[in-house]
Amino acid sequence: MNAELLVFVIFGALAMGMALRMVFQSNPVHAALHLVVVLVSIAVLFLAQEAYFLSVVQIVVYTGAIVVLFLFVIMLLGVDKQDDEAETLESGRFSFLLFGGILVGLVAFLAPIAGYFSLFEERGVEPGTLGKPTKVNAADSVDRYDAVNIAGTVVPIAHLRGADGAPVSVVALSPAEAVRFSAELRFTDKDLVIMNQAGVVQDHLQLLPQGNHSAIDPSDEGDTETVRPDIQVPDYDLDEEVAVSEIRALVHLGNVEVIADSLFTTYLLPFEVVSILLVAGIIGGVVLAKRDRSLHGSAAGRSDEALVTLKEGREAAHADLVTDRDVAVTTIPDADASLRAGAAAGPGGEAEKGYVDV
Amino acid sequence: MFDIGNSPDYTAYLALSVILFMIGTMGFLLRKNTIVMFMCVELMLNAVNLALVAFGRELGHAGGQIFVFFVLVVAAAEVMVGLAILVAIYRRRLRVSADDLSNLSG
Repeated sequence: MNAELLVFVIFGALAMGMALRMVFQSNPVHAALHLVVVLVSIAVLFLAQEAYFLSVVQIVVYTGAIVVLFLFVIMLLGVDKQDDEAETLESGRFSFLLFGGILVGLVAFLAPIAGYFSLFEERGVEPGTLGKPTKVNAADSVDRYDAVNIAGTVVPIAHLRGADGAPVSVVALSPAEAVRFSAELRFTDKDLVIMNQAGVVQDHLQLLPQGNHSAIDPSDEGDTETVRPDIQVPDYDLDEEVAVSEIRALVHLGNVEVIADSLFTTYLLPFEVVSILLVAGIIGGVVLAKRDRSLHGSAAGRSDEALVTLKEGREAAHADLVTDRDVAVTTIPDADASLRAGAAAGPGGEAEKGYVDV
Repeated sequence: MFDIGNSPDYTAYLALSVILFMIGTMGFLLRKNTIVMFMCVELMLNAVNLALVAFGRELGHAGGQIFVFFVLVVAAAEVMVGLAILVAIYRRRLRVSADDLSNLSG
């Protein structure tokens, strides 16, 4: 079984199961812990898709910051105890069936449709072939070298020709591809050396910025550089007929360099805007969560105190109602008058009645 | 739909993403505890992230992963403000159940 498929099945199932358990969990703390498992599973799925940096960021930001914030607020407010009995999922049984139906329907219908109208279908590529390695036979020979510009990174590629002379495929000459290329490849950002298994230099391609590539003929000793006219560097454009395997160069996409490169060039403005959003979020969070001390003693401060007594009164009334009806009337603390009337009316009445019965 | 024995193609990731998104939607609509509802929103955002990465990988474009970063930042800001609002609500009403927050319903 394929390793990526194995990872996908295990962690996909884990994410789904834990997400369901999270939804059905009545205790918010347990729900948050299930959410952690879901987020880590998704981070592993990012890894499986070669988004290495993103996977680490996912763990750091989500499980490290966001879920901790959730747990902090849950425990600060104490809602884990409060809402345990309050929320039953019985009432939503019909809704669960409805949404389960929608879920199954979406997966059953949308996924095959998405597969059928594949993104690359109009380019004559079978759906699903992109993620798979290009098969290169030992008999294949290199027709010509080329390069594509993918997200600002020049990736060298080789057009292969089969033993019968027909063009076979195009491979991206990344280190990961070198094994399949059955040749040893030395690849720096400026220089590409292709050797055969015996270690004999077969070709030497020098990569220059801006796509001006010059190739050094292996027969040339010394520093003479012959510019090969057959090497063109097309801009990466999906409308162009770019061979699929060129996109295999995506292997590089998870790299920090590529992400940083496009984040700070192409997406610089969104990056700045989003940083403003983050600052606004910080300020908003502080302002909203701050208890205003300067208002203490004024109307707002008093209402705050009244709320505290209201809470105590309500909790005490609740506890007494549960444990001992008889003492309930006497132990309800002196809260606000109106509040006491409201909170203690139910338990008080019952308790008095119980006392009379005894 | 999926080739067994080969790497899962992006439709597999999309299907998983749809499932996770629907679980999140379901939880958001059905739960009464606002904190758990928030968690469900996070789950939905993560499902979208998964789809974005799958698309980015399939299309060979770094934009997919870049966009996930923006989603992460927006999620962080949203959680920050949302939980602060919850704390403020709790101070006023001592409950954070969605049933109690019905002042605006007719």
